Amino acid sequence: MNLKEYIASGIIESYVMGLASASERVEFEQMCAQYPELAAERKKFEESLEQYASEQAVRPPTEVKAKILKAIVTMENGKTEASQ
Amino acid sequence: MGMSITYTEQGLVAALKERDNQAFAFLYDHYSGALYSIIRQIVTDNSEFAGDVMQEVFINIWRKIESYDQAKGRLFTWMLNIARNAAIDTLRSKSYQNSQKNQELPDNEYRGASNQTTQQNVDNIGLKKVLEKLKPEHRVLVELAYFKGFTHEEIAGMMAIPLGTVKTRIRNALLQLREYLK
Repeated sequence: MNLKEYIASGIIESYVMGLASASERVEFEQMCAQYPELAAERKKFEESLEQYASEQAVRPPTEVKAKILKAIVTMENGKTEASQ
Repeated sequence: MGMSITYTEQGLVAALKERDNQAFAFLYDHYSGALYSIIRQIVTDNSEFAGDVMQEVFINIWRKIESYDQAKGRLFTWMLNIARNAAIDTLRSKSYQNSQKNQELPDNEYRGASNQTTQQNVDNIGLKKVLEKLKPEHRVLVELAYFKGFTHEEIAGMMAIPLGTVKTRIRNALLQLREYLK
């Protein structure tokens, strides 16, 4: 299969969206490292997906942020204590 | 909120790897809406569960940021996949399924792809909205794979279609989705 066909096969979308199989992922990552054009195509799709996702954002419940930040501070403090 | 610090993606990743709380707060402010959206598209019926998934996702992002590899893709892609996986795990958890029992009959949900169009009881947001533009036989496969987390093999079994066909249809569907995102 040539690069053009590979790019047009849907593998980029499948990989980015987490639907590629383990062996497809390995192959895709090797191909991206080898062919900058493929990596650039991947990046283009990632950007449009991100753009669309931020347009479609839904505000999470307000209390979630504080809970997360608190959990993280607790985790970090735990680590510091453990290392002392 | 007088936060005026902004980051490039590279700078943000570097700061996160340095365990910078302020960078993490920035990350949350900038990406939580997009990630919560995908969680709600998967964990559709209960915002309490979705809030819990959100917490889990951001804690995982914090814990796993070291393993994020920019060569493999953008930060958002990495986070989106963490969010999708966590949401699917919740969807499959006993506690979520028990909370759903009185509300629907999951066994009938995918009996016929043709019924799908008449069963849109969830507000369609995000990718789900784009999904509506696909042919029903494509849409149902993306639903099962992306939003319900079934493997291609499982879908082939459920829908009684060959594995190769499942794979081809999903890939074609994703290529169409890509066009609609532009």
